[in-house]
Amino acid sequence: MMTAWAPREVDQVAELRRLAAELEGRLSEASIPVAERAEALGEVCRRWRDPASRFRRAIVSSLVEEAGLAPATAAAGFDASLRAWSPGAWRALAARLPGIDGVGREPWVGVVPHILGSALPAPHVLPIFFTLLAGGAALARAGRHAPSLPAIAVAALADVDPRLALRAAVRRWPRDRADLTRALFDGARVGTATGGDAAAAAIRSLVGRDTRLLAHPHRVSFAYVGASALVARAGTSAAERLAEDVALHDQQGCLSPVGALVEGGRRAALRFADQLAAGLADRQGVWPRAALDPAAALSVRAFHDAFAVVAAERRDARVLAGDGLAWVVGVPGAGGGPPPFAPLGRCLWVAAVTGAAQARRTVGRWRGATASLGVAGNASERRGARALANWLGAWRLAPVGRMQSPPLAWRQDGARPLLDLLPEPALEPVA
Amino acid sequence: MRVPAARTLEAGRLREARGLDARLSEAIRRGWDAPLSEAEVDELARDLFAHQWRHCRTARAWWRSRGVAGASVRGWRDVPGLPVSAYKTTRVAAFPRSGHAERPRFRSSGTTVGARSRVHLENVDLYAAALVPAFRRHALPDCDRMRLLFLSAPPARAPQSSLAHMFGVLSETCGAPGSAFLSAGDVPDIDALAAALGEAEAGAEPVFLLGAAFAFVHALDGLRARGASFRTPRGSRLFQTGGFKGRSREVTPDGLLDAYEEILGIPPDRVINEYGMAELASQFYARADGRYSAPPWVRWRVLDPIGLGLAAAGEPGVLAIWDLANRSHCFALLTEDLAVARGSTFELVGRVAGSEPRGCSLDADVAAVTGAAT
Repeated sequence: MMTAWAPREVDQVAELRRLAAELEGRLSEASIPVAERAEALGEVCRRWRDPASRFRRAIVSSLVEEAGLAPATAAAGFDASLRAWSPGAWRALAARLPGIDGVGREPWVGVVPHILGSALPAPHVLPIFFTLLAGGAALARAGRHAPSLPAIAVAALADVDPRLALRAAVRRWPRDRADLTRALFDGARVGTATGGDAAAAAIRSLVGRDTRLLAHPHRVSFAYVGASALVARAGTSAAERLAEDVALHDQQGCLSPVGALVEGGRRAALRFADQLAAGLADRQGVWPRAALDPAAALSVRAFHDAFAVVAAERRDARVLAGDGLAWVVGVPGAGGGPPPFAPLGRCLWVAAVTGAAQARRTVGRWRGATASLGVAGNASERRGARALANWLGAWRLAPVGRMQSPPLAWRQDGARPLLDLLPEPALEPVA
Repeated sequence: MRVPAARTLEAGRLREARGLDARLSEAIRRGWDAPLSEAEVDELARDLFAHQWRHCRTARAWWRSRGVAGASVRGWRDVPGLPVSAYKTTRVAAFPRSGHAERPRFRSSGTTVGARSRVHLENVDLYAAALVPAFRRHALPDCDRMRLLFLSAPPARAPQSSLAHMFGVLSETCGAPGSAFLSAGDVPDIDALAAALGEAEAGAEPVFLLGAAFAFVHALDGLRARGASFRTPRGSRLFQTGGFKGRSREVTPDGLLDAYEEILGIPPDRVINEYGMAELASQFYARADGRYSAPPWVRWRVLDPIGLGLAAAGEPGVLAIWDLANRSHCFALLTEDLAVARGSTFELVGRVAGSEPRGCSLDADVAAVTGAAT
């Protein structure tokens, strides 16, 4: 469970192999029924919701000190993730596994290596917890954005079920230690890697041909706002809810909306952009954005200016921004090309759409690279959004305001977790 | 007889443009021998600003939106750089559309994914005037002409490439017999390159290899694949420009320098780095230390990307450039490149992201971790 590496002079490759063997041994030694595993994992997540939990505080601290998020933003993002990680959700997920009912036989999962990444809690926690739920042991390399977070999660599990926690180990090493990454995957049947496309490609080159590497590419999300959602009502407006989805995790996740398609013409889009800007300004007061490094700041600047240049010449375009470009909302002019890629860091565009064809033209470049579509509107508008999500290849249609709380079983690529994706299909009996 | 107002206006614009071109050509001709004083740069900048305010709609709209108008401009520092993304979405030109189909138009190389810039030029005279003396000073200070081997398509095959145009001008003005374009497209002709290098090696005539960094990556891969390496004669050198992210496998700058020496026999002190872009008429040059310097008619600053004030000393920021040779469109540009100021030079440290969809992946996949039953 420790994250600290042994001194350099120790043969770290041998140490990693020894650790993998030790984990494998622990799997053989004692059986923990799947129902117990699910209960333990659900209990950990339940305790994390308690503000007094020391592990919760440590995770938020990791997101603040290591990932650079503001404390309130880190806590809000963690809570958004936890919303779907209830004990019931863990039990439901476990129900997909054989053995839960005492009838099937549990598959031998073995030790699963993970390269963890991202600045969000889920990609640091779930690969380990899912492996444990499935009956395997997890050996993970912590990511550089929140290096302490996975070890804290394992420590929290030890507090609930020490036997299960002994099946997980987390280590850290620099990205350029290819020998260690190679050793991590050495002999593994399957492993996972989170990170950018370049990182995934680099890891793939280190993984043996017999190992199935599950590397997840970048994805983005959008919101579809129906005309009915623009009508003023009591309660939180669609724009305010969308602002929350954007601000959570500082828009660093694949579920963070980077653009909003607004039905009802350009005036409606401009009005919605104003409301969204107000919502983002409000969120900035509550969940401040992290300080940006120069490269990220340049990306935000370029995104802002791409709209500002058009807005300087055309009245139907607009750019709205917070102090210090704390957030940026851009409205492209009519007839322009597709909106630019959003650099994250609370930047998004708002585009008017008057029909399905226009919506497809606007987001067509992200077809096959869309994680989810948020929707605000009536039943008919939700049907339109569903058709768009289907066309984009997005596997999630979520209410605006809940985009950052995917079901525990949701997967970016739409595949159903656990048994749905057995790596090796069972051999059918030969007649 | 009454002359149509539009024609009168255009005649006036043309007179003004020609006058400015003449003054700018003279300023460039003075070069490093009698460099422009700060007051002279400011005066030219004021006049360029006034000209582009009158004739370049996009620049005018941008400056107006930044609260800048004629009277407030005392020199180049007062003119906000137009974001280079403007060239992707609108026509940035200080001359009318009529007849512009015949005028030179460059498109950015698209080293990053996404829309490409379109740069409209009224003529290429200032471009050539700025190009040659800077190239001679930094890349050819010891001779008048050399055998230039371009890892690029010839200008006729790539009429919208500012790099191909640049190489065409250099071929005419600085190329010795045997100079050649060794590529039909992005990928160099390895056979032709190997033959030219072998010939140079045998004949003891130094060669000058020029190309985009990604073209060199392809060339080195090709030569390496056939186990070829050369000891190019003393005095041989190499000019590389641009990035190669997204164009081929990525290689570190040091890795490239090592390969130049190992496969081409060109040591790091004979490698010249150029920084330019389709939106600029002038170029910056650096040696192996990566510190770029500007010609005397160009000014630059490293700005804090958020507030656009001067970046703190030693801190990275966005590079803003005032290129007096950019008479045809906009002389004040805000690039998408990240730089650090080092005295009178700057180092490039990155460029804007956002060329690909971004967003973390919710990696956790239980499913795939379940294995076959034992």
